[in-house]
Amino acid sequence: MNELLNLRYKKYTLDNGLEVILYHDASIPLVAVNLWYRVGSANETAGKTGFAHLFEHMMFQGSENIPKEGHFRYVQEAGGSLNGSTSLDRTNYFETLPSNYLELALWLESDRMGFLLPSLTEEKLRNQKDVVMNERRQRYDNQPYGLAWEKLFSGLYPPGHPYHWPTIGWMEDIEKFRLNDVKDFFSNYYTPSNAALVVGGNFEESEAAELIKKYFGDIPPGKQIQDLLPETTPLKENKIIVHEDNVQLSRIYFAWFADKIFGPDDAPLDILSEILSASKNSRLHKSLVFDKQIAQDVSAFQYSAKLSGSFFIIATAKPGVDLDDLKKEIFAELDRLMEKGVTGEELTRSKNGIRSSFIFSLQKIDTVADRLNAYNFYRGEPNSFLFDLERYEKVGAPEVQSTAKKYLTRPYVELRIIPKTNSGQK
Amino acid sequence: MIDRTKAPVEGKISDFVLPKAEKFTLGNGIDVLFIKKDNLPIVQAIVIVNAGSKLDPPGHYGLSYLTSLLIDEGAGELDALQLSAEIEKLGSVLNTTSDHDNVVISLMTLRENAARSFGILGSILSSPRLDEKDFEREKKKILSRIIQLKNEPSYIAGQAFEHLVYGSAPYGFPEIGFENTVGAIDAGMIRKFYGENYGGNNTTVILAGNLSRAEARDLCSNSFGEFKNRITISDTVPAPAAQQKKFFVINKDGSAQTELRIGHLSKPRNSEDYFAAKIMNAILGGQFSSRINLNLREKHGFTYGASSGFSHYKNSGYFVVSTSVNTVNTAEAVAQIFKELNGIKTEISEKEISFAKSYLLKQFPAKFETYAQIARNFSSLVVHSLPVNYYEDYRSSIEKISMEEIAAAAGEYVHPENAFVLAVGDAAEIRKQFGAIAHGGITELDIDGNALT
Repeated sequence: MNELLNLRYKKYTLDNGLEVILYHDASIPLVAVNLWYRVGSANETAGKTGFAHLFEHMMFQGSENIPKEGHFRYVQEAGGSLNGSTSLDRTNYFETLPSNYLELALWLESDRMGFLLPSLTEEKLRNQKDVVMNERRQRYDNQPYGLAWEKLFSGLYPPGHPYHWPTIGWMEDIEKFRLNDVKDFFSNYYTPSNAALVVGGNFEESEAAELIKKYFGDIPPGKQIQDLLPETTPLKENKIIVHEDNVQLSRIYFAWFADKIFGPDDAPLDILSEILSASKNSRLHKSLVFDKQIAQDVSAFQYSAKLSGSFFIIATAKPGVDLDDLKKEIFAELDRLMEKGVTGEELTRSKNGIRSSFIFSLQKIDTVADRLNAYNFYRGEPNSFLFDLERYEKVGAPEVQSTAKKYLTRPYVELRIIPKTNSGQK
Repeated sequence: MIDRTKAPVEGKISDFVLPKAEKFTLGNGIDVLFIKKDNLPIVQAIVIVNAGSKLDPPGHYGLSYLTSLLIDEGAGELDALQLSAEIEKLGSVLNTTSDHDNVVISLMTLRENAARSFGILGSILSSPRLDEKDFEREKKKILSRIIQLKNEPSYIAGQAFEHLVYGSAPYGFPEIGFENTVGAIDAGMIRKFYGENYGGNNTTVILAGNLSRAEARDLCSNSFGEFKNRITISDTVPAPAAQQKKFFVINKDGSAQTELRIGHLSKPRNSEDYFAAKIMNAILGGQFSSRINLNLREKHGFTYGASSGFSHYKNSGYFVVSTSVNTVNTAEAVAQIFKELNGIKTEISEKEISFAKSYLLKQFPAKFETYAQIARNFSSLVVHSLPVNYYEDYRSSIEKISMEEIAAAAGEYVHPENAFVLAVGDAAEIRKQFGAIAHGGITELDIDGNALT
């Protein structure tokens, strides 16, 4: 079955620096076009946060040869689906279409890579600023617990660190977006030499290569982007943040500095998180939710990115349960695990789940295309599905224990989100 | 130099082979729809049990939902923790959801682990433990969840809107129930509900997998053969009363936005003019480039997104426009939505129709990519009593719809004059803004959607 995870692809670089990865799969009549720009919120600066995410909007506002909203219209009329997403390290733009529309997708993507600025107006910026502010209200400000992530990240990473602010940006920065700054940001980062293009699905390889050259070949390369080399200043002591919100049940969060993506401890931390919270039998779930019933839910996970990772444990208190009691039980479980380790059975359960999830993830061509780009971005090798799976299969019980000791004994950020004292809600 | 000013012409279309479903019936009455798919070693099952919250007795709303939560908390030889551990060891994914009509249990597994995973699924259906201590735990979980939901504006709006449209029964209350109705449920009621409503002749299995026909049959009869027949459920749904345009508001202090729902009762999913309505709605608010989204988001910047659509239950459906807007623009957003609702009844262009048809026709193959997508597609035929050749005829059903039929659908399916307008947010501010447009007055509701007196 592992042979399924060994994906054959072709990778090359155009003269202007654009990396191209072609992956052929004739089992479906679809083609996925997936572009990663090596720019995320980490490339922003204090006072000017939210630019990378703003482009997730501006890239759909038309370019020199595409009218406003044209990008959506063309792809939808062809029966395709499309979107983009922003993370700390990168932004991606992608569409999946019937395979006979590959050229349309390349035309659209190349036009906004090479010719966005001539059509970028004050009016478009003003409109999308309003949309983004409403997105922020809807998904963060008006969402119970919606401000947790920005509070955790800004607590864990100091003000100068690229992971200090939320990817959507601070509201006061969004309000102040200026056209010139926006244009500068685009000129710096949205260039062929700072991007990688995956085309996956049903297409003729030589024909696709021709078309890619035709549409992207004449876009000039950008300037060299310096790698981000932030100073890591680990927390010296625990940091406690309390936030009152429109919530009914209190929730407690813990965040630790952890290993970066594909670092040696990244996979053991993933497995640790599975053993702590991924199922009914997991340590924290069984203790807090199943047996003692003091938590409504609990989760633990490793969020790893290019510069560093963060390990989280989150639990929501049942009505009337004190967060201090939750905290005590969580740390009692962590202590037990650090002292006695994990069992072979726990390890097998989580590894089997991980193994099938790799096979399940092969079902959709846009998922596969995005994974190829992700592996290329973080490892320089698109065909890393097997490598990725094997790093989990190699993890032994002693390693899970030692990794837990290494990270979870360090100082952490503790966030408590509690009901507003005078919310007036019954 | 290349000419970038014109969109490239499309290439040669690739073949798309529509997956075919084969139907067989097990000895105990379970209908199975099997779809063979062999590009990956995966088997996906969707089990539909016709035992959703429409069957909840008044006073015990939440009974069906609580039963569905308990159904996989131990079965046969395995208690709740053992069952979960077995599924994990097999690397399978087991999931239960439910709605007003059905309880849906889905299982995704690797082919090599299909027999054992299906064995567990079978025992969940035929011999769930429904133990007292599991009952107490799951009931407590639901009661806490009900409390939590009181601060989720989109959930409050959705539930209250259904209550406005359907009144009390059978679709007018939340599946999860209320604190007092869930509080009144005991373990005996769960066992009785299971006994009366979970049965072979009340269940359909959709199976999409890398299996031969014979393997599929064996897998199903070995796993589901023990599931007994029960009484048959009648699916008559009392028609709710006709409605008239009215304004409602639910207060949420400290809201950063207003959640809006505007709409009314509509027609069932298996109506003859469904495809005309689908094309009409694609133009009105069914996708990103629709009139409502372009107006509210791209022209006015009132919202992150706005859409319209039909929600369908068995033999019933409603139409609703949904969005979340900046509080200061609430009344203006409502006015723009009504402008679009009236507009679609006045004029639809050839260009819009050709766009909408192209969108719906050409996206068809992408709807059959994953095992779960395929199984879900065929399950909707079962849920909504649609013909077995539905997907074979899908393209021609859309192609043949005329402009007149689409215009007629706008008349038939969109009724601004009868629409309920529900706003969840800062009530004082919303009342102020609605003053000029809500001629029949504004009714304030509690968060369950009942009028405050």
